[in-house]
Parts: sequence; C-alpha cells; structure tokens
Amino acid sequence: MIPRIQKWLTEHHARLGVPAKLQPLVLINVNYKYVESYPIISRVVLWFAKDAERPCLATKIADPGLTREALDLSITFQDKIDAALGHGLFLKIIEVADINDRMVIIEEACPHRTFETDLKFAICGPERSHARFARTFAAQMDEIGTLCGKLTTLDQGGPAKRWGDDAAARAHHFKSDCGFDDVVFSEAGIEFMRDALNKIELPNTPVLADFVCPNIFPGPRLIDNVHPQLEEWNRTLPGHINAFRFLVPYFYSQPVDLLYPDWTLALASALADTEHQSIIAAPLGKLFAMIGLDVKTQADVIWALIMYAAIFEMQDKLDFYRESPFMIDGKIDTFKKWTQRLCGVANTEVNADYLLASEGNLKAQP
Amino acid sequence: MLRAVAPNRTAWSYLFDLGPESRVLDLGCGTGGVACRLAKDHHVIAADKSPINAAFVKLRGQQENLPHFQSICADGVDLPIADAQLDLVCMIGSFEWMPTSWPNENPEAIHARVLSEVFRVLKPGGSLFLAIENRQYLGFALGVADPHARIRHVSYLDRDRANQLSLDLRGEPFLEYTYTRGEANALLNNAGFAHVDDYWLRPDYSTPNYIIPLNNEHIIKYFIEERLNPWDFQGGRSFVYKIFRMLPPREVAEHVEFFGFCARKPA
Repeated sequence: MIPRIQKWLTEHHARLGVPAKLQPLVLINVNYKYVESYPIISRVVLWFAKDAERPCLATKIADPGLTREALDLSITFQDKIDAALGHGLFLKIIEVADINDRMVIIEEACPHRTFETDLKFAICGPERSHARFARTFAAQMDEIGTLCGKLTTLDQGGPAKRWGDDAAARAHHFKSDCGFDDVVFSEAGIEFMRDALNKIELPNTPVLADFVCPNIFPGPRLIDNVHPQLEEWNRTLPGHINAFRFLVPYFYSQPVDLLYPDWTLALASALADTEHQSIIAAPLGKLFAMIGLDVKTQADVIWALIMYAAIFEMQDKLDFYRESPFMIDGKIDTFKKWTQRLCGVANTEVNADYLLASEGNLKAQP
Repeated sequence: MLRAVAPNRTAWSYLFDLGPESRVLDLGCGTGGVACRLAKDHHVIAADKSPINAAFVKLRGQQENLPHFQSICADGVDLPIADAQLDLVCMIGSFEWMPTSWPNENPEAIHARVLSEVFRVLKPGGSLFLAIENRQYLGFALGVADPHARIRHVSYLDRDRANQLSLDLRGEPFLEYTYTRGEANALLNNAGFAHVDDYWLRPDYSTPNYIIPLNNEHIIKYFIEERLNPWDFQGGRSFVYKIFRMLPPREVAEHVEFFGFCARKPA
C-alpha cells in the first residue's frame, strides 16, 4: 500500500506543494486494539522530504468501515469550527484520494510536538522535574481551557438544556451493559450525577471527536476529528463535555498515571485543594473557570461532568472491545474499579494529601 | 496470547505493493499468526519445519475458511516450490532459528542457503521481508539476555567465544545467529538481492507500531524525540532510552533491538 501512496504523492507533488521524493515513517495502531475493522483511522504515514527534520505531509489509510459521507461530514464540521474560531484548530485535510480501493486522507503534517510529547519529557526521562511538570501541566490546561472556553461560546442554536436525565440514562445503560450491580455502580452515585447536572443549563455547543492527549498539539491543534458518530455526538452530548473528555483520559493514561495512579482520587483531590498546595489544583481550577464553572461553588457539577465523561469513555471502549474476546473481561474489571471509585470518591472527604504524596512518584520514573 | 491475534502482526506488509492475486510465502510460520492474517487478502503458503506447526496451521486455515491458503512442512534450505513463483517471502522471527535443525553445520552457511532458496522461489522484482533481532542491540551490552539462547552477552561476542559460552552455560552450541545491520545487508547482497531497505521495528517485529527507516538520520532523530516513550523502557532498560537520547542517530541505527529488511530481487 505504501508504495502506491508514494507513487500517488510523486504524481501529485506539484499540486500538493511537496517534493517529488518523500520517505515514509509508518505509525500503526499505537494502542493495541485487537479489532480489525474499527471505523477509525489507525494507519498513519508521516512523509519526510530529504534532509527535513519534520514531516511535510501525513497520509492516513482509512478503515473500510469509515464511509465517505462520514468523512465529508467531519471535514465540513472542521471547516465550520475553524471559521467560527477564526483560526485552524484542525490539521487541514488537503485531499481524500482513492488509492488501491481505499480512502487515503492526505493531510497537513503536525507542525509542533504533541501534548503527549511535552508531558513525557516532563514526567519521564532524564529531563523530568517537578518544575517542568508544573510548567507543562499549567500550559496545557491553559490551552485546553482557552479552546474549550471558545467552543462553549459557539452556540449552535436550540434551547439550553439540563443534562442530568441524559447522563443518568447513559449511566443506567452502561451499568446494565456491563452487568454491574448496585455495589459496583450505586444508584446513589447516579442520582448524585443527575441532580448535580440538572442544576445548570448548558447551551448547544460543538462536540469534538477525538479529544485525547496524543492527538493535541500545543496551540492547541487536533490531529484527528474524524469519527462516524460525530454527528450523533453533536446531537446528544453537551459541548461542555469536551473539557472532561480531555481530562479523563489525560489522567488515566500514561504518563500522567505514572504520577497519579488513582485518577479519580487525583481529580477529586484537586477539586478539594482550594489552597492550591498541589501542582495541579490551580491550573485545573483555571480550566474550569474558562468554561464557566467555579471550583469553590460548583465542585459537585464538575464532578458530575467528570462522571458523565468517564461513563461516555467507558461505554465507547466497551462497544469497541466487545468484539475482542481476549480483551473484554480485563476492560470490564477496570471499569468496575473506576465506577466504584467515581461513586465512592464523590462521597469521601478528600484533601491535597494524595496529590502531594503522588508528586513524589516523579523521582521513580524511568 | 494477545500478541498472537494482534492486527499489527502484519503491519510491515504495508511496505509492499501487494494485491489480491499476490503470492506470499511465510517461511517459519509458527502457529500461523502472520500467514493466516495475510491470507485474508492474498494467496499464501505457510511453511514450517515442525510437522506439528504445519498441521496446526493447516487446521487453522480451514477453520478460518481461508480460500487461497496452503500449509506445508518444509525447511528453509530446501523449499518444495518451483523457481520464480512468489511475490513476497516473509520471515518474522524465524530466520535465526533455522540453523538449529543443522547443529553440525556453520549457522552462517545455513543462512546463506536459506536466502539462496528464497531468492530462487521469488519472481523477478519480488521481495523478501526479514525481521530479526539486532546482534548489536544496545540492551545486550547492558545485560539483557539474548532472547533465543537466553544467555547474556552471547549475541555480540565473537562467534567462537559465544559458542564456548553457550557450551559452558547450557551444554549446547550457539546456533541462533543474529546479525549486525551491516552483516545482514552483506548476507542479503551475497544472496543476489540488489536493493535492501532496512527499518527499525518498534516496539518489536511481532506487533510493530512504528516502522522507522534506518537510512534517514532526521527521521530517526524525529522518532526518538517525538515518539519514543521512556516509560516503555522500565527497569534496567531505562539506560537504553537514555543512551538512545545521547547517541547520534546514525549510531542508534546500529544498536536498535529489531530490524526489518526489505530486499528486492532484481526485475
């Protein structure tokens, strides 16, 4: 496949504004998924010109499950958001080529490091330090806060809505889908989320597709916003969930989880750390403020949005891994722990102690 | 177990221009993880010198209803395939084991015979993909055991000394030869392959997530800076990450853990 893409790029290089001879760096399925036909792009090739230090172009081989209509809709959505924001949030999709009976997306290559790259240097490796982590974390929360703040002003019309009942319905569906009982996912926890979310009205603002750390560049700019369910998510989710869909995987994934192994406790402790003793409390508080939420008076609403985003993420993973008999049991065990923690931590007195103790983990990193 | 069914088992196949009619040989197919996946899109022959593996893979192919799939029991030094039949031959973690069937022969001579056979069965313009550990992987010098002999330092030592070490520690000769980048290129060139591209396969050749060309120092540097994760190098291997950060890219290219060689038979 790559020789055919290479040939296509050589034939069209003048129009694309790149050299005729390019060399590939192939990135494949960075996370093991064990599912073949998942309708998400997972084969990315970065193309380098001779003697260039960064790629000049990216191509993505789309899975056969991704339709042209879904792709066109994502491109239209991106253009609309970019126009509203007044700058390019997404890497520009230059063309969608039909090569060897597969859709290949020809895209602008990343101009900067990703959030994940900056984080890895802050937490692991020879350059790590508390000062660097604090600087990196604050900068990333500020950038995401600025972006999400802008997105939550892009009202797409329709009445503002209270989302408690929708969130509770998703929670009940997830609970039943996993076969969890009340001990694992308590009704009291679901009711807490419903009541807290019903306290505020949220406008109908855009929901982004792939909002995880490795896909975000400083700026921030997003690598991927292609997803077959994007249109549905924009109809059925509040735009405010963007910030929380970013935060939840940010905290449960490497490298942040190397520092704070219990992501639920880390986020809850940050909400409770009103004196900003820890590294993360003040930047998180600032992010929430940028999307109109006050940590001191709306901690319950913020926690409910964290629960809502986590349930959404878990359901997404459940649907994905259900096809893989080798993975699903382990995932459900993880979801069981997370769900119990999400309900348990909400009812526990927490303070900055966990965060202060966890910051010591930085020294133990490779 | 999970690795056996991972979709990126055949990620390297994107490097080749294969179509539905392409004919592929997986030489040293083991339990068929690569061969059966490739057979969903191409005509595939899976070959293994173990009759048990060959029988297992035959059954697997039947269970998976693979229409253009054949399993044979064969040794790489003598393939029961006519000349110039195949578009691609792959050997994923199998080449280094082939001399163990010939304990009284020089392993390098066995490897040369295998490559000569592969060259013979390939069509003009056909390709070989050889995935193998690097004899000079940096981790070996830092005490990581050779994954085949399970003896530390044995891979990079002079072959006679390695053999003596192997006899001393496990009572068997050292036959599981791996090669440096230069040695592997020379072996392939000597077998007649005209053009060889070499790659670094990360994290390993069984389930690569990254395929990095080793002939481009800028790409290696970019990869180390942007994509290589220090947390993948836990424990004693953390030194490998730090030394990779320290070394110039051309040196990193000589000391990566897993190589993938794409070698083409002249058209």
